[in-house]
Amino acid sequence: MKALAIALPLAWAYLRERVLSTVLNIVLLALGVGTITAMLLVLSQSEQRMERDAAGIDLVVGAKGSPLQLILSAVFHVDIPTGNIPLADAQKIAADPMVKRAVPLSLGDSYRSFRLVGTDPAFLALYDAAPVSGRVWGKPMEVFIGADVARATGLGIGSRFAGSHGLSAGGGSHDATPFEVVGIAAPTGSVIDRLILTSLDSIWDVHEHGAKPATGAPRDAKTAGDKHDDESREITALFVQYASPMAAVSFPRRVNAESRLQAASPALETARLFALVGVGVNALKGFAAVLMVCAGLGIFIGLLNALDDRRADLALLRVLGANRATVFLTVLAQGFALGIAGVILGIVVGHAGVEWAGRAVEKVHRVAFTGWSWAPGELWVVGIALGLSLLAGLFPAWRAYRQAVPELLGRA
Amino acid sequence: MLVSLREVRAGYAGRVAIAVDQLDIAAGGHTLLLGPSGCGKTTLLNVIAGIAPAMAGEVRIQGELIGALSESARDRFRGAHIGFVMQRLHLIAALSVEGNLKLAQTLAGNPVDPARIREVLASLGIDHKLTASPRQISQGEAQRVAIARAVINRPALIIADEPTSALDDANCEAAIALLIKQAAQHGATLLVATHDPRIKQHFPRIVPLAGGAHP
Repeated sequence: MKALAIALPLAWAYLRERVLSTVLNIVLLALGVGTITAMLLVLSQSEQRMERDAAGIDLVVGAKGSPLQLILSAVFHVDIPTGNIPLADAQKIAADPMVKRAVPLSLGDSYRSFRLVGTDPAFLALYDAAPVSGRVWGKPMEVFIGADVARATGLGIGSRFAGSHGLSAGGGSHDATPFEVVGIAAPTGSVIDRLILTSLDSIWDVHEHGAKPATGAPRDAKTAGDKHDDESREITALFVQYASPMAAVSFPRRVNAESRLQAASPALETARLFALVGVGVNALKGFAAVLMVCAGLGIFIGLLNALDDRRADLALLRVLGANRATVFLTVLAQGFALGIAGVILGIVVGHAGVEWAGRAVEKVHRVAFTGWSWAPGELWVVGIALGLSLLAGLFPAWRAYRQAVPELLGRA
Repeated sequence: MLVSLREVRAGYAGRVAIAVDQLDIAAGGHTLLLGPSGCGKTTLLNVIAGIAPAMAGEVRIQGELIGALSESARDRFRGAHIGFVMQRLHLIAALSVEGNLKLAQTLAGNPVDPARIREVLASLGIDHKLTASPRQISQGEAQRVAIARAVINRPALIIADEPTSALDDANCEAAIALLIKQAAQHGATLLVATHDPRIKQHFPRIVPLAGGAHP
């Protein structure tokens, strides 16, 4: 304890004495720690969000095309749909004994960049969503809005608005068929917070009242008031929950055998997405690791040079009664203190960066990332960075430990 | 006896640089070890202080057989009982004047005593430099801080190695007078090794050293 009581203030004084090199070492280490921390935060939050949004959905059936696009558009609502499928086909799948639950989805319109989703109330059960005020939609043209939608648009119970074509702002407006808000969902932390939910009939009605469907909108909407039976109607996708895990083996294959349909598994596609994104993420992590190693080398070189410059101090410490352990700790503490400062700054920079970038991204993509949470791998980053700083200080400290006082006095 | 040497052989790399058959220093008996450069004065002081082991013989301080102590016990003993003034003043530049004295107190195993620090600095006329960095004080002031550090723990023995060799006549006289006064004031015995004959008159006892065997 006495050795520490001497070593720590002395190490602090030495670091203060070389402000520039101290600050540079800390900043370098912080950049590495911060970059990896930010990566971990974004990845873990993306994974959590995707896991949450896809929970309870074993399979998504949609139009032929990219299965990843189907999942991104139908489950996560960040891409455009691959197309539509006949309602009759969807009803046939829903009636299959291998299917426990089927939830239809109809996409294509939006309001101020928030997607309008035609579905049935079973969709709410997937996300444990319930009204915080008002009620769930009942009649056509009634909507139930997510918590983020209510916050961002100011829509409340009784508010009326017209949806616009397409999934982003700027499409033509369905002024003739306004929606009415009848309920607001309690925040769920899932994709439902960013959706405007209504019945399938509402979506069909909007497009049967004269407007041309936008890209990706239900294509069966007749514009001349002709017949609208289930045979000719379409939806965008169907969420499927299997009745038994065994269904996973044969059911997707059967669906894919249909010429107009494709089946995509959210679990498989998100894993594929992370594998694709992982290449870039790993490159960034590698770069950050190089930064951390450079910081460690910087600490090592700085301490070694300082050791040469401070032979007189080391000699003096020993003459005044410091033992070898105190001298060792004084040098080691400098490396460790740099490590602690770099890690703290890095964690702060990483979290602040994600919070700042998350807010910017939210404005554009309606997907939020937050710096106010911890990623599971962060403790490892902290441990590795502190280990590196200790390692960097170990050799200089050992050299100081080994040097005999007469030798130090002779060179001082 | 405060310091007692018997059949001491000291040197390095297996070569005897200095040999002292017998040397006794009583408490309060200020002693000057006078000899030319390279005769082994510093080597002998290092052995007395337990900084380097003797090649042969016995060194006792306050009856404690220094060679029998472990290295860390010697470090503790040195910190608690011996004050040092070195040829080059060796203040730690990263610490303030006060920080240097606090460090000496801590290393000696004493609690930090700001009142004692101010008292010693005041007795040396440099209490206004308490918070100054060693880089901000003059050579003469640094010399006084080094003396303050040597006496701060009220050591039984103050060892000074060439304390005046870098000083002009006036400063040499002032420094040695100050050192003797402080040693007396704080009840310490002074052992000075030098090749500088200008300070001879201040010491009641002079031990000439010429390398090789000595009385």
